[in-house]
Amino acid sequence: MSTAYAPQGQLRRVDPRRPAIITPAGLRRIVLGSSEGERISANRLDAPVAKAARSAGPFHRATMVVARAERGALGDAARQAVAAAAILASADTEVILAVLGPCHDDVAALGADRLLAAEDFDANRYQPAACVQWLQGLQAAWAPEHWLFADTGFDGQLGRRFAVQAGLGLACGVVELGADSLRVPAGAGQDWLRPHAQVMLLAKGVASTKLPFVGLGVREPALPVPAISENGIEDLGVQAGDPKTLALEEADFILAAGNGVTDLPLFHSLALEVGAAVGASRVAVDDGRFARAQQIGATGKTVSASAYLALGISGAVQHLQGIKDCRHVIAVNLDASAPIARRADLTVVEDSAALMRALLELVRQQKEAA
Amino acid sequence: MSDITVLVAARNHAVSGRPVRSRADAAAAALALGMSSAVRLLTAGPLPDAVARDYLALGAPLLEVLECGEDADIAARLLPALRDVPWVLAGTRSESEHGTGSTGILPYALAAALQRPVVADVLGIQAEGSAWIVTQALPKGARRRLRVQAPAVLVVSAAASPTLRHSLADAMAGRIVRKPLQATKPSSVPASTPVGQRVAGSKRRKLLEARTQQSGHARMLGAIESPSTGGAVLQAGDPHTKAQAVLDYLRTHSLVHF
Repeated sequence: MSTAYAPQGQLRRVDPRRPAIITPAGLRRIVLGSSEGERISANRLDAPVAKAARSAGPFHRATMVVARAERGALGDAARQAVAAAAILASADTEVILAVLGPCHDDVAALGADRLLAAEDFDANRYQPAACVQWLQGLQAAWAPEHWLFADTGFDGQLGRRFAVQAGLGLACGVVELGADSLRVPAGAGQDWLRPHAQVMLLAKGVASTKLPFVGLGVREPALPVPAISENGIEDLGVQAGDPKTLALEEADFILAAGNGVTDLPLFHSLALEVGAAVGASRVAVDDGRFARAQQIGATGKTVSASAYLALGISGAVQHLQGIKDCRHVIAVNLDASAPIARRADLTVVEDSAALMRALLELVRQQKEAA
Repeated sequence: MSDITVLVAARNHAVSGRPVRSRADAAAAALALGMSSAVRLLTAGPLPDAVARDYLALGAPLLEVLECGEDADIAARLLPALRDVPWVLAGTRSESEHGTGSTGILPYALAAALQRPVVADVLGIQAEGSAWIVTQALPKGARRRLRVQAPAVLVVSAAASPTLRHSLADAMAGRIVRKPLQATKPSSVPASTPVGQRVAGSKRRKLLEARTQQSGHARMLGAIESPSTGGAVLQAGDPHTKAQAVLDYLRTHSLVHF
């Protein structure tokens, strides 16, 4: 007996480490008066529990999710598409993720049971016909019941091309997905409510990527993307964007300055050296150090760069709104408890001028060595 | 017969709901008019005269309207008029503009039926002999140049911003030709438009979430704890080691190339 009863008139003392059992439903259950079970402290229950697999197989059907990986990682929209497929899949349906390009993400945590990655895919080449043929090869091999794409940029176009070429039913810009229905905008303030199509292009924010389960995450090399010529089209090459003339919304790497940056020539020479676009917080813009077009935040621009290096920015809520779509945020600040440290993937506690000088020197050295 | 046909359509204004000129289609027409002055604008379905005049004000001499029924297959209606046209241009449809739930599928369907390549996200066009040099917009400000041989279908990017001229003389002088639907042939089987019902757009859209079974304790924790707790914090060391750490982070995630 671990529950102690005090004499009448005094407070009843309850042992916080009473033995408890974990029920099959995952709930912690205390049976009063029982000495059976484990003495677990409450803290251990807070620790992340390893999630169970959605389905252990065997699989008879398949849902295919197709995405292009950028720098080895999937975008937010593609992650939502995988999560949507995993949520909708029945126990005998396999969620297959077909990725163009190498993919280093933890695909099991995303909900995928099988990853087919075409590692040799070159994103700089113009090859839509080859990609469509690759998908038709996947269709022949796996015969998936549904195809899911994110309706953004490359993925959305590929989905349209594939659906038209393969003659499959298509729903574009799906804004709501249910167990057996989907919703697409119909214009004039109305939406269509329709049954599932074979190919569905999902708008952003359709599914939540928080999953209570994981997929099996089997990695398997896919067929290579076939080398076929584009009929009547010759690729003359890709020209990278010039960060100086680029709109901030389009920039891939942004160097942003806040109130903590006073040495502007140093800041601009660092931006030039690393090839980054220049942004600023509201304080720095109001101060006249930067143009209004360079302001990032609620009253400025919302950016979606892959890398965002914030120098001397504390990270007011309005500024964090503007960088919510950035993938990697690095913060340099003298105050380790500034709000931006909660958002940043790497926070460096240092004077921005000293760090800029050291970084500039380092980058110049490495450029000379290369 | 001109070499270039631009597909145009009216869109419903977001606030007033009236049919107005689509900016994307106007950009496509302006790009085409930069290549040649003999451009045919083509549409299937209803197009009020005021909107048609708005398109003609860009400088095109002719706008053809192929009349068709409410639920007719627009691609099938347009197809005969496009068979002999080497260059077909169209604007990018935005999500709210199209009412069929197959946003922006028309150029792809037409190109598949005509067996022509499609080039999407076109920003600019230059002539080079009989071919066109097409500039394509890629994410992150990159541009790709393609040499495209006729025949082809080009979809003009929403980011293309050619100067849109507005000439009252051209708007008045341009011809609007309305071609009625031939009643002899019942319009080919309506494209496999899936059945469905209309609901008000204001009805809340439900997020697709996995069903979870959580203990009360876990739910209470979820309500109080913040979702993001931040990444690594680097306190110790001199500026050089910290700069090295920043550069290492950028390199491991291949964010810089030098």
